[in-house]
Amino acid sequence: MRYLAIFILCLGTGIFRTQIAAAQVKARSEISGARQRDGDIALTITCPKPFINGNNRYILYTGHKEFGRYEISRKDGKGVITFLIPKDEFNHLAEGSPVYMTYGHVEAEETDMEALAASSHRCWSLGKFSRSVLKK
Amino acid sequence: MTSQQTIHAGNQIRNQAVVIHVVLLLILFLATRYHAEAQGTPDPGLLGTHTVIKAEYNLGDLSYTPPAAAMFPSNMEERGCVHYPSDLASGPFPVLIWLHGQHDVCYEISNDSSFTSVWPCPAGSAPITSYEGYDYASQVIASHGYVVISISANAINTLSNSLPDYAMNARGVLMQHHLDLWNGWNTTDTTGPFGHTFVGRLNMKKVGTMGHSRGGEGAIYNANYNASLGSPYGIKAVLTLAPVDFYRHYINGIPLLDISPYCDGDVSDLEGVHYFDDTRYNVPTDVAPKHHILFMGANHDFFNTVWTPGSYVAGGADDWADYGWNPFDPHCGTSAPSRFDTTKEKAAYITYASAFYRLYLGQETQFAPILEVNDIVPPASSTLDSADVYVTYHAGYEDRLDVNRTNAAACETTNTLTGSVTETGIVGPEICGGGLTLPVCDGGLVNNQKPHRGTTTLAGLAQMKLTWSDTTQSYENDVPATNQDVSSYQALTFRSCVNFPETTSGIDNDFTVQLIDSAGNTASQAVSSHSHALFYEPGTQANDLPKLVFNTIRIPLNSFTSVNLSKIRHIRFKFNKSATGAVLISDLAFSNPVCGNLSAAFTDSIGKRYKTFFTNKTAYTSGDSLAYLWNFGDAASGVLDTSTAVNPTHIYPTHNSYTVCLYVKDFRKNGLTCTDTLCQSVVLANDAIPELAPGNIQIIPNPAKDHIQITGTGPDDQLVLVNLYGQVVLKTTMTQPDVALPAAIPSGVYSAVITTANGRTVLKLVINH
Repeated sequence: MRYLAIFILCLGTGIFRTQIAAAQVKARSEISGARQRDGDIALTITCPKPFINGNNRYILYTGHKEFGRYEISRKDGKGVITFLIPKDEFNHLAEGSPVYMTYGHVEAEETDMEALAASSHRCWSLGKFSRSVLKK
Repeated sequence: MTSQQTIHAGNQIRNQAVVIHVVLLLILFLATRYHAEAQGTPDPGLLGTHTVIKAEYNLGDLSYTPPAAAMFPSNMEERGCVHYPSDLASGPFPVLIWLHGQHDVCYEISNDSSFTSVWPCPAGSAPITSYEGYDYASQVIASHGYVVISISANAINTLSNSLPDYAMNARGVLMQHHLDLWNGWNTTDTTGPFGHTFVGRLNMKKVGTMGHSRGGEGAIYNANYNASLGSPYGIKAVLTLAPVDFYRHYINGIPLLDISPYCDGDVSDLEGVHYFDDTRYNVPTDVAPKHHILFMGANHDFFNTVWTPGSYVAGGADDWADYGWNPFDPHCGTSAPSRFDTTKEKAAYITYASAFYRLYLGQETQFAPILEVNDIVPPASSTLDSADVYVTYHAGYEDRLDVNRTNAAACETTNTLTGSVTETGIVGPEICGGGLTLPVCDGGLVNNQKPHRGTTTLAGLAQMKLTWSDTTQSYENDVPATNQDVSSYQALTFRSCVNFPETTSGIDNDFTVQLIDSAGNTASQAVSSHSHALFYEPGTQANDLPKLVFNTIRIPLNSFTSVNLSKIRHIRFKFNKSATGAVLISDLAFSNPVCGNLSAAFTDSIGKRYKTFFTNKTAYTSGDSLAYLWNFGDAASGVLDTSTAVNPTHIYPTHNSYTVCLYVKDFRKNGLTCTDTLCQSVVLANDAIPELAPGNIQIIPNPAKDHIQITGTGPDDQLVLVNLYGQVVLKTTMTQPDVALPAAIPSGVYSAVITTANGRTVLKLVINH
């Protein structure tokens, strides 16, 4: 009887923690491509889950630069966000700079973005910037 | 195109089955609002007396071409709804313009969980009418005599993320455009959707605005845009509801209320607090009061029924749970007892928004204590407990004496009054958190946990960090001699919060505030006797909770007994309530309410023959414009029973006790008209004036027609004519023997009471015009 109680307790705890974990799991996002659109480079990021379409803003950080103009949509249950980066700024971005995206602005220069990406469901690490993304 | 429906007080008529649930919730609200709970301040959130009508207007999805100032590349819709009193003829009424924030724009009719961000909505889809999401509040406020207009911004929402300014300029311009539309419908344009309905019914000099979320920043832009156009509309109150503050614009000179929901799952850094913080001192002569309200269990979306799950045909979210935060957080979790459900959140908004608009637009100063931290008991209509809501109040410059603004590093040792600042034993005291060159108060916190933060490039709220480690430690501000008379202020105020990273988890803080006068007398008050604001901030959500949010602590000066308030020399915080603790403080000041220190007062001095001299002793803020009305309690004197003089005199007919009332109106620079009344008894003793023998004084002619001459009198002597009913028909000082008899005095028999320095005599006078 005692062991049954312990088993039930562990089961319940496990379910509880799973629920918390599920609520906190952040879907992986990745840069899926970029193309020129008028005077901008439209850089697209996709995610298996929809992005929040709320009142806060998405910000893309790379190479000491921030970009905040974007379009957001859902396609087949997936999230799509396309940042509009002025072409001349895109061309001057440092190759290999880490790329992050946040929902809600942070002071990147004062923040450990890698640590934030690891701990927050509102910060995504998107790898390193490469101008070759424009060819995708 | 318009549609109209009548909403009767206590009921609502809707024609959409899906909103029956909303109706039931609304009935619950309305039923609640008929119950007035006894408390010091009247409840602003109860239903008013006006029957309310709702109407809609829609001039087209792309009918408005915005000007260049909007910085918007497309046309917009002109659409909204209005709630207004059915008895428009009793207007004109103040006008409110409300703007929703960013949200989905269209939903697919066949699949209401599928959305498109194309405007106008494509075939097979319908607009999401976010502007209707505030109907529950519009109805209540309109019932008090307001025209409440909520406007649609779907075209803006389609494009805003892609614009450099997130369409903030467009939002401000759109609000102004709707004010222009309504001004036209109020004046010359009877070709609009409402014809003559609103002509002459709107008071465009009394306008209040509200913006929710991105709409909040839009409301800030609108106020500045209106000012740039020469203020064609009198915007007197701006409410920012869970707003964003992307660009750190601000307004001065207009009363502001910013509302922050502690469990905001969207704009989680509560950045709207900057609208308050940034405008405290930037304009030294800013007379406009500023208010902030923290709803401890509110989220971002539930203020709007269209954004609330289950309350609209499509969309909606509990932004806390649905945007990835822990749904089991002990404070903000979905089922946490501290979380506001949709009913509670809407009730809270109705009550405090009503208080704000009814105060600053309706001049209903009886609600001011709720917003001044003078009455910290939430009104019953809000359904809140004291732990659910915290108010912050920053008085206009003429109603404050800033002791320590804590807004610079120098304030650690020298306060704003140039008095010394000292501390005893405090651990690492410092001014921090305000950004720029100031240190960070708590390096381990993320943005969401410190809404008031500054950055290396943007100033925030600088704070004084006070951490104590035994009960003998203290923090003290000296008051220079020239400022020690604080008797004209009503309270000592400061903003504070528990510095949770440096204090025992879960333990509220407390300490003692002392005033010491120049004679060394000390009076003490525990913060906990006047405020609950030193609570240990709740919640455990990583990267978000707890949050450091500053709230006002207000201690009435009349609670500091046995000290001379005209000679206050020191303000001391004595940390004697616990062995350890940590708080952050800012904005230490002596302050007054929005009506200043207005207090009607007078003295009287009784001279000979019941001639009474009144000396006005009314206290008020220097520079205010006042008007007085006296009533001498001598009704028989007719028009002479009142006076508007500052220091009047009144001659009473006889010895008696009279109730004298002084009514004061204070036309304040902050736009409020405040009133105060004092009634007190004036007792006139019998001055034992001897009666004269009639032969000494004569009236010629008698009967008289239009004038008489009284012989045997002097220039200071008094004549009173009394009719057979005992009514005084004439009272005059006889500067000369001839006295004119006005035609208004009917022919008849009168008693002429003549009072001289030697005595009094009564003669019969017949008037025959």
